[in-house]
Amino acid sequence: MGEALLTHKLEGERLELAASGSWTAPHAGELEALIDRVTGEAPAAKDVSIDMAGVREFDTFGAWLLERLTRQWSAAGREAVVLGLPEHDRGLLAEMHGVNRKPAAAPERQNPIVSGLAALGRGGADFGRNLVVFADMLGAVGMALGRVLLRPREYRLTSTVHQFDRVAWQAVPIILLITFLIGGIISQQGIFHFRKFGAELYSVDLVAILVLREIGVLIVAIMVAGRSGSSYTAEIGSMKMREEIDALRTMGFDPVEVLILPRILVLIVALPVLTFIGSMAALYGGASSPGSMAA
Amino acid sequence: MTKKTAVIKVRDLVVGFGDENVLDHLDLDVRAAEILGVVGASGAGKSVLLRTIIGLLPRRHGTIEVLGIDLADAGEEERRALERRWGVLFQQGALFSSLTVRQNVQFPMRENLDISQRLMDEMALAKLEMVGLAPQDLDKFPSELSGGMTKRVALARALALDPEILFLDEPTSGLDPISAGDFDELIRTLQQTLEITVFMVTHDLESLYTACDRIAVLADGKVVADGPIATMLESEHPWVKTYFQGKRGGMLAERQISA
Repeated sequence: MGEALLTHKLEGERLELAASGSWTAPHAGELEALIDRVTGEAPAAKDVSIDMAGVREFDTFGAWLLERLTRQWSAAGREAVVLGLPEHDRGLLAEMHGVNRKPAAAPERQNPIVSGLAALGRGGADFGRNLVVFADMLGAVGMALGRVLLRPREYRLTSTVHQFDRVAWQAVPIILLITFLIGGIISQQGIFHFRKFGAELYSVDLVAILVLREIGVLIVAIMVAGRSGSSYTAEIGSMKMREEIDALRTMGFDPVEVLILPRILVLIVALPVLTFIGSMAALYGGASSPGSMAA
Repeated sequence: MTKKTAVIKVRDLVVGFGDENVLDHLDLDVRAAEILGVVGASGAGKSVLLRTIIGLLPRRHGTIEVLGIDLADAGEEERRALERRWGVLFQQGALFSSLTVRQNVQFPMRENLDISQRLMDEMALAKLEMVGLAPQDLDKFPSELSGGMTKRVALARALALDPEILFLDEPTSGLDPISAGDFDELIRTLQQTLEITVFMVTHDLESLYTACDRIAVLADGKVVADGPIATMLESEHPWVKTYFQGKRGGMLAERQISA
């Protein structure tokens, strides 16, 4: 900071302020503190004059702080005069003169217990509403499925194949990788602990049972939900925003039949297939973990 | 304020996608404290030019100098300091949907300035009043605003830090003619009070007549004509001729002459 933004001098009952430098946004914080301090130091002063002749730069922040200062003094029944403000900055000050006249009501401070209860109540109501929406969606899918079964020719096979490619085929590499690693980890950990009892061979059973009965399907299901479920949400959400779904509806198509039914049917077919592939990868991973070679 | 100094200097600019160059060796100056309207056919590269100047699109060739700083040479810090000296109004407003109107306007202040919450509240209200919003709209979310209000809030946000340059991307698109007229007038008034330079991309002939000091016409990746309305009306370039003297342009031109 090269120069002082505001200097003051008390002449009897008159506070004389001299402004200089940049009364702009980057200096607003400093300036605000300075104004508060200077005016607070002279409680006895009746009138104030602010000499703006030394100000090089002046923007709305500076103009508002000046306006606020004069407003404060006038409100207290004292006189505030602004001197030496350059011609081209007067418009700005005049503009600021008109604003903030009706202060906006501060947001209501609520009792935290009441607002907590309100949030809980809203959450419960939302849950109920979501349940209804979900039931509505299930019903719509069921209806669409019924219609398709009655008129199988109208089913969208192309869309189904495309979705199958996305959800099943393109998901194979990542599912292979993750389940392979999981299988390997189970096998390695199993051998590590069973060795204490001389029962390393049982880690084979551990891997087979755990993968085929429990983990295999769970891991794959979670991965499909995370990978495909979220991409569906984003895709259909953006279609809704761009009014594509409304367009479908006005052209006489049922969006559930066109968009949702193929995706759900594809998921129903893809999940068991992916689970099988994933389980095989996990078994292979179990068999090829370093520990199992030694055993 | 000297009228002649250029605050934005674009020289020999080439911007393209794939095999195609949208802007082809383009030169343009924007002078201090003027409102420049950039027009051109759809796809002529008006928005591309704006987005390149504010650094959202990479350029293939040429230099852009804003407020005396060459964007290619500017370091990270210098660039960010420069970005605080301009405000951008995007076509759809681009308000943050999770923040209220007040918070949207305060966002740049909160991030860039070290000021008290009280001053921030007062400044946000002042800016919103300057663009013509009522105090009761302050705690609304962007989804609850009409198109015209969204643009006004976005303008208030663009003005939050008192920028020296204001970029407007089709400020009046999607507004009814009355709101559009009001918005043009608002931009004109704010530009005069705050003494900012305005770079405005537009389709709206009415805006060109009422708000702009100077017009630059983009065609074939270049500026084919620039100057005030009078120059446009005399231009021999076929697109400029059709645009300003066509059915819609002609009516406004007559009104301008008779007024």
